Amino acid sequence: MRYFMKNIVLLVLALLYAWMPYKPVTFGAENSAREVIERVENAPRPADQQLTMTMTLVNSQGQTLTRTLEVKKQGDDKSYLLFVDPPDVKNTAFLNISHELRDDEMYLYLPALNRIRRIASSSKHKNFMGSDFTYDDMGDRDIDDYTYRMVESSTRFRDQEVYLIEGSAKDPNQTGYSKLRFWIRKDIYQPVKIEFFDRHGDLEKVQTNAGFKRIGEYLLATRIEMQNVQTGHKTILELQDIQVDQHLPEMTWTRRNLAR
Amino acid sequence: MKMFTEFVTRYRKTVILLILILTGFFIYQMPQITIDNSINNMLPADHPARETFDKVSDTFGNSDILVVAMHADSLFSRSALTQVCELTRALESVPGVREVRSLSTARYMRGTDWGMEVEDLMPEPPATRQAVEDLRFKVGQNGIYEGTIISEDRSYAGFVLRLTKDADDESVYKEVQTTLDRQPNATELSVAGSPAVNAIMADSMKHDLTRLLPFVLILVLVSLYFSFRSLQGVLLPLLTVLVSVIWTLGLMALLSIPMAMVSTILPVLLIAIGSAYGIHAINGYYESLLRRLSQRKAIVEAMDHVGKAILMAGLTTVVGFGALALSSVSQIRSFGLFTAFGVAVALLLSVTFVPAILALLKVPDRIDPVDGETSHSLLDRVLIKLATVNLRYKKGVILAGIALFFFSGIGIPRLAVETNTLRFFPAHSNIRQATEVINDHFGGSENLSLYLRGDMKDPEVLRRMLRIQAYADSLEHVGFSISIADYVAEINKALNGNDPAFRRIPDSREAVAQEILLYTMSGDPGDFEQVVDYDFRRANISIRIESVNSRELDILVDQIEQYARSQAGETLQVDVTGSSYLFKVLTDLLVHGQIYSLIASLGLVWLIVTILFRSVTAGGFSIIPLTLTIALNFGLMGWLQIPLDTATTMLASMAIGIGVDYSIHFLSRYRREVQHTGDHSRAAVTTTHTSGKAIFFNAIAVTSGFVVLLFSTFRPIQTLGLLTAFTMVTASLGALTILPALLSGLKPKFLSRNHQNT
Repeated sequence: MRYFMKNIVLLVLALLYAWMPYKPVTFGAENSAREVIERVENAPRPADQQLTMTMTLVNSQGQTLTRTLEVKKQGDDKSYLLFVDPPDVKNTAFLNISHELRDDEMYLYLPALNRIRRIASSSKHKNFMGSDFTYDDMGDRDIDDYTYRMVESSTRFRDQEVYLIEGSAKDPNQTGYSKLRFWIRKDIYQPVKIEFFDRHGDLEKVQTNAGFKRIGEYLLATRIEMQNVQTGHKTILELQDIQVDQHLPEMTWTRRNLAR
Repeated sequence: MKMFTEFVTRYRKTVILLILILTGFFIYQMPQITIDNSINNMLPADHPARETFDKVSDTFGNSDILVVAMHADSLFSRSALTQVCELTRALESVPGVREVRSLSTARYMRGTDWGMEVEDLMPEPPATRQAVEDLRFKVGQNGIYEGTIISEDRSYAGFVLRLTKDADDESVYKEVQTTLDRQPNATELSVAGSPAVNAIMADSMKHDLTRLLPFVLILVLVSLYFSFRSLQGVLLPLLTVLVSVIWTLGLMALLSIPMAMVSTILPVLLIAIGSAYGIHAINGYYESLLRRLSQRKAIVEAMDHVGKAILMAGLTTVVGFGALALSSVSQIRSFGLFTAFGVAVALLLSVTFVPAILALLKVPDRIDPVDGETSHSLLDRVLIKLATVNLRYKKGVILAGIALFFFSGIGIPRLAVETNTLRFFPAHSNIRQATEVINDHFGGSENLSLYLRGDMKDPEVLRRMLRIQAYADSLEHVGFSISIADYVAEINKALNGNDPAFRRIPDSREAVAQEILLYTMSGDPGDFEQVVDYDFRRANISIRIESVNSRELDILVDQIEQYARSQAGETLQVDVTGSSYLFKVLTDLLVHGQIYSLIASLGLVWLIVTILFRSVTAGGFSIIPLTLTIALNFGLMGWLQIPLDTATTMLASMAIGIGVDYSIHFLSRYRREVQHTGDHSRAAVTTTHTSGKAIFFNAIAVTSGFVVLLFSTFRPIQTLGLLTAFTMVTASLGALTILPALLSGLKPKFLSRNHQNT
């Protein structure tokens, strides 16, 4: 509703501006770009979810590597991953707890050594398990790290009406990227494609989201692909057996549970 | 022959036009010619060593590296380290460079109380003195940097450049060199590695081509002028060889056969050899004119007389070079085939183009044929003296020949083979000195790879890999080696509080897999790309070695291969590869190719002479001086430690192809004399005197053509020039001493049989 009101205001403003000789065209667009991003960000999310994730890595020569993991997530802050396949890493478990004010905690349990190892949080821009997703890409991104600009307020992507929005990093060294470009479906307010530009301003990776599934009141992409155009490496995440709002016990995301 | 020449002179304009059109066509092709000196293109595509090499390159990327070394008095200073970062970025942006390993791109693996961390060693240039000291500490902590990206004495920073698979060595090297030249301390920077060697070679080749060609042309021009003193006498043979050079290079371009180092001598060779055919044709024509024949008749008669001799001389040369086709080294094979083609073209032109043009031109006013039979110069007296002395000490000459043969025979086993292209450059050249720096301060710039198949997470397999590496590292000329086993051991060490005792492979397959997983939690997906394939079934031990000579390389590779095989078994298969290994294989191929083409060309020449004289014995006699010449040549190379390489391996074919002409000349004249007079001694003297002169002049002409090669940039080509001169002298001397001694002593039957076909 609030969004609708804002649009009306913008429309009125736009009409007013149309009469004026010096029309700052970006002014209205900038706001609506930010608005779209916020609306995407504020989409309802499950309190917790449990799913099976298949991670397929494809290298530049087309060789593939597949891992299957059981994932238990609480919001965007806590995740627990248990390896199911391949057999040599079966029962290896990973725990990630992100904190608002201090560094994230990441732990890996190695059953063959019967040890829990902490992973340095400086790895946030690093790739998650040899995939093309950084830890940041997997978790939540602070939308205030970027300033947004509407590139195309109406264009098409895969036969869908989309917004094309560009986000410029306020501090590329902190975000790891200089620029992001979002293709956001107008009907469901979900990004279907994201382009990642590296710190030097060159296109580095392209993410595409597909297989949107409605589970309860939530809309989730079940097939997420990340292609690194610089290395030719690709990662495909496929999510199955998604269950939401199960009230998973809090102890799921503890170190004790990791080495069980 | 008569009918053919009549045909050519009648349709002279059509013949000339046709040849000009073809020449135009080949000139049009010539700019497309390419240069390729890379080692893998020297081996046949189906050679197992090359197949393995290609497989490894496909799986683990191009293993050829460029190494840049930067000297700095104090490397651990903010300014020097800032430059390392900047230079790394500059080198990364060179097109064709896939990756640059340096202090600023290296990974630093650190064990902590609670785990392990993989981070960039120096993502940014250090901003404070403290940051510099931290870096110094980190570099000291981890043994994997020394010898790769920093020299042991900390006076050099290293940059290891890996190229993309289809990178063009020449353009990458040029761009890298420009990047280095732009640095303020350009004089402190050196670059080496096989792409650099290849690029510099291609450059020197172009230089050589443009420098040697005018030299040999002037030489031929001068000698032609002194022979004929007429414009057509100078221009026609020259035109003939130029056209044959154009056709040959044009055909190479048309068939996309690249030029290699040895091909630079192709034009020189064709001019030196091919001009003789034109000279013979024109000389015959002038001789006929002197007998007051009409122009057309003089041409037909001259061609009838000398045509057969030219064809014979040309055919044996074509066969000599054609026999190089038996070599498995593609450089040598294509060189042999194209030289044979060029010689055949020169041959064809001298019996078509030359008579056609002669028929078109006016008869010159003044005529000076080359050999006037009447003059009694110093040369005549020397030759007659040689013949008489030779006849008196027949047995002595033969015994001396046999003695020389055995003396050379002892030297042949001492013959060394050299395929290291770097050694083609003189020791003071920039690239040799840069390579010295890299050899001394880094582990060298050459690569030897072990291609392994097995379960690369099996601890036993990994332990064997470490054993192979420890053995290799203990050998002289080996810089260092790297494999997935190193990574696993390093991770294990980091996981155990950086305790060096834990730099080993954990005990279970699961532990290995989980440690690798732990690493990938903070590493890059591409970190293992060069050492192990995606599913851990194939791995690569990369061994950095110095640029050593072929003999040292041979021993080194054998030692490593033997040890690696001793560690291989059901669970681990090992193949040796890498560009250094290809060089070793090339060495073997060079020797085998040499033996095959030597036997083949001797056999074919023997066959030709046998058919020519309709006598097996004559064939045998013709190759005696050649065999002695070749033995002497290889003996000399053995005794003087002149290595056999891609250039000098050409010598035998050249000696046979050109040298047999002397035997043929001598034998046919000798036979004619014996049939005339029945007196062997007189035949020997007359033949030595008359044919001897022709042989002498020919040897001088060919030798002076080859002397031009002394101006080449490449040592093997300089050596080739010198040795060819030596060979021509021994081949002509052999024909003039051993042959008369043998013939007059043994009096073989084929000489008295009556044949008029030669």
